[in-house]
Amino acid sequence: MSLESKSSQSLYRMACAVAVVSCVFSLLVGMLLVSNSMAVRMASPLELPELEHLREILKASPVDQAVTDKIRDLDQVVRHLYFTGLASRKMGIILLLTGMVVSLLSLQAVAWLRRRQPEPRGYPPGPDPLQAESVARWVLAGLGGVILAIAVWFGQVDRDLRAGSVSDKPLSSSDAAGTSASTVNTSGDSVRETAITWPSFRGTSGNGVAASTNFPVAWDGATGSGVLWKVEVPLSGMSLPVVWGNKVYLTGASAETRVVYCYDLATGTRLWQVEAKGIANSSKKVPEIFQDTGYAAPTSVTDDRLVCSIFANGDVVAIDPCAKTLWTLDLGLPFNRYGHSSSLARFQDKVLIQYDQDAEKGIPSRLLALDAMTGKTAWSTPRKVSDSWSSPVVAETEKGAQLITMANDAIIAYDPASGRELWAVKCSGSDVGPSPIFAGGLVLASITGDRIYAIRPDGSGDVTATHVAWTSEDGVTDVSSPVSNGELVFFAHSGGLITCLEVKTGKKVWDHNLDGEFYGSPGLAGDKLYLVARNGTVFILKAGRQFEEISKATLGEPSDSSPVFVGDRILIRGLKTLYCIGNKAN
Amino acid sequence: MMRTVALLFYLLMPVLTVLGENRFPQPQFESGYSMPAISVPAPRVASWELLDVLVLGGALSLAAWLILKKRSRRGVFLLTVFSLLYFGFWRKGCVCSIGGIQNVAAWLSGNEAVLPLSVAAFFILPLVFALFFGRVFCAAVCPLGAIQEMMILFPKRLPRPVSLALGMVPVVYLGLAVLLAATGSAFIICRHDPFVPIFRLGGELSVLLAGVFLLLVGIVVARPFCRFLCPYGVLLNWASRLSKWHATITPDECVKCRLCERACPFDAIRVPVASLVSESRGIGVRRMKWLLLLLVFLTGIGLWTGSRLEGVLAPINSKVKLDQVLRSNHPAVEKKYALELEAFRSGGRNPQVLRAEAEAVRRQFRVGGACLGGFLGFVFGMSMVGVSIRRSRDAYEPDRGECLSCARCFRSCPKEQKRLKP
Repeated sequence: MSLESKSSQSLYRMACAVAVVSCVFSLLVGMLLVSNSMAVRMASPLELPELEHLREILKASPVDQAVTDKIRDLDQVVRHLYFTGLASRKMGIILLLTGMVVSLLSLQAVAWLRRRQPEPRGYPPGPDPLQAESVARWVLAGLGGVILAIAVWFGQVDRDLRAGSVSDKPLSSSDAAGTSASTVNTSGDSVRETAITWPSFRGTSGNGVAASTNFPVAWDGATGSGVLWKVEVPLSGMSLPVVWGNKVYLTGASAETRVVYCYDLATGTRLWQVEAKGIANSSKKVPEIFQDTGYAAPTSVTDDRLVCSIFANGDVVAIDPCAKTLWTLDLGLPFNRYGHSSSLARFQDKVLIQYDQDAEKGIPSRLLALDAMTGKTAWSTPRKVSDSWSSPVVAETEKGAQLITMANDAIIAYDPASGRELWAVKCSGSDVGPSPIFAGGLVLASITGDRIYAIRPDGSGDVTATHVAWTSEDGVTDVSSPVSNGELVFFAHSGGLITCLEVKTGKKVWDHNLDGEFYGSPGLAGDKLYLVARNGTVFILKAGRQFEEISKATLGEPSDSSPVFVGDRILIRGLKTLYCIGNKAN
Repeated sequence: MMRTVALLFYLLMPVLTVLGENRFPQPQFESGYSMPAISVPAPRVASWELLDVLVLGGALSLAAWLILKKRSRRGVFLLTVFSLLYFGFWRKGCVCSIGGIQNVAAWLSGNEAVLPLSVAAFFILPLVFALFFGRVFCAAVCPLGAIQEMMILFPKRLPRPVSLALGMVPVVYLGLAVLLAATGSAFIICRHDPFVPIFRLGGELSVLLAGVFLLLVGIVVARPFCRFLCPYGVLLNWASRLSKWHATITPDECVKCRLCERACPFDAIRVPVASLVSESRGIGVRRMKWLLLLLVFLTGIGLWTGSRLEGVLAPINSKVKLDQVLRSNHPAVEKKYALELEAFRSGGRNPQVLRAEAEAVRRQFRVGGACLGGFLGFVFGMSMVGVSIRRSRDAYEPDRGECLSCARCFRSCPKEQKRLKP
């Protein structure tokens, strides 16, 4: 210790004393400051009970000037006190820092006076160089390994989240359809969105195929077993729910009222409802509809910015996720024998509407695209077809995106960007209700009263004679649309006959009569077919080359719905109730 | 006695948290009063910026002279105090060479970032000086180093493996900072500068706490930020290894008295090593071959791993985050980012444009993430190669990379004592 001289010792003692005094001083100032700081941080001056009380009074009598003045005065006092406190804090901080600098200097002096002469003889010998090298390598390797493992883990977790965290092997629509190009992702959604959203009629791809596979196969809507939640929908409708993120949108309507509902996917809580009213030029005349169609048969489309819905009277409404109506439009009362039921489709920033009407009434059918954000018409194309109940589907073919439509007289494909007709196949159906799908590289269309057509989508003009790969009279449906895994395609007739055909050849693989009637279209999740019968029974079949019933579940009420697959849940709309089916453990 | 004083001082440090800033909502005027327009301070006039650059250049030159020519620890200490006062408390820690890394990265990335000449000078000058004279910037010019220098009271040596492992942290920090700056996402070095709230007598509480913590640690572990966090230190370390002139412990021939062995609080003095090692040449060559293969492997796997981190890193970017929030459509998320959403929506911006911009940023992160991973893999691999290369040393020498040129070790050398008192 370099404290040999008396002067050094007295200096050391003095330095220690100064250090102690300055530290204690600074500590006291600091504690006061900390307590002041905490009080300031925790205080919510604008939430004073007196202030709150005055605000309540003001709410009751908004024109009371005396109360307003009192609030202003109190607000000013509160702020004055607050900023005075801040000002005094500044002085405290200066005192604190001064004390700390003195402490630091005195401690430096103490450390300097306590210096010791080095004693190399007492130093332990250094490590063996080879051993030191080895340790260094292992340290670096270990640290590098830890960083790498963390990075890989983070990357994997992120990828799992993107895949929707619901499937070990998520099926993209193209995988499910077994084709390199399918009816997928026409709006540019990410893979994750595909898994957690169901933005339009029969899903992102419009073919009724789920993006994941682990859905329940047993539940009972009456007892609530296997049902996460169920809510009664005030107004009925045949439309299916559409989902974006945690919001489920649904329409319901009566002859006089048309409503868009928004539910929380997690709990079933109704977040909001918006009535479509006050639409300029909207017809007050109630359309004549078929009871099975109802006033809210078309399914809406949604994305992160809006939900767009159409009703039986031709009213179109777009609402943002916070229930704000963005725009409305009146398309005019449709002349449609059974009522308008064609669902909306979407392509990029456009909402696509197939507005087919009764040609005998002299009202032309048309196909139109609206700008999703403004409702302005992007393009409109006349259609030389009569009224139909089919929904358009956007297929991503090798030749590009095509908007496939069906009607009694023809299957027609359009360019969804411009509305230009690409190709057409003439047919002779009647009361066409099913919608087309695109699978295995073919457009598959079940024309009611005619036959099933499988069409290669790479032609132009009238391709009836050149691009029809096969036709089949087996399996023709009247209401529901087909579903396919790319190899096989399944049809459900309203009478209960289920038919399986080979996509490539159209050859019948099997058919089977189920004890049920089917208006809703089948859905496909992995290797399971979900068919909702009109009496509420849900048949779960194996989507294979042989008929195999896996299980049966019940809703507990009639339904004409198709299943909606979101994440690991199934949404099914009953006659009056919306059911969310899923595993509670998830 | 000493322990009591030290304990008191330790207790004292956390009260610095009172410098944390408070926010208070502005009054909600209903009528009559028009809120003043938000103003931002005008940029510093060019002449003052020039003065900063001149002071920096002068301080670096003086530091080099004090260390290499004058060999004066006292002079270095006084210059450190000056730098702390000027660059720290007077200039409030900005502009600084450490943060300059980000400006340069952003400018090089072509993201329409501007690189002011003063910032470029603050970035380049210390590196140029390091190439010639070693880390003289760290010794006495950097305000962040200076404030820690004042705290070195009872320094202890860390076990070598610990300091080696902690020494890799700045490399990761450097890589991340460059990636985030180059993608226009964030200037994390500035945002998380632990000492700026102290220089400015106010700042974000969490950052201030980090600064206080580092100062507390710095009492026994000398300059922890400089050694185990500073990203600019990585560049200076590399430049200093190539330095033409570097401080030496002894002004003359080393007598291996071992008196300097414990003089360095930063553990940057290397002991003499005999050239003969009890290992055959064949084993060493074989190991080196494996290490070189490992270097290639680590770089490759780093590239691959980094390219998969886009989803983790990209949301740091505000555009990507906002796009995610808009897409999530989840009430809880929307509530959390209510202000951002309100600002976005009220600004009338097109979500599609935002989405396209976010996608462009994501692409940058895919490429940048791969570069970051490859860089880290390469550095780890090179470090393993570096520690396996044996250099014979017949004198006590400062480690050219790690030595902060603080001049503490000079006085422990008997030859230096003789020089001072002939």
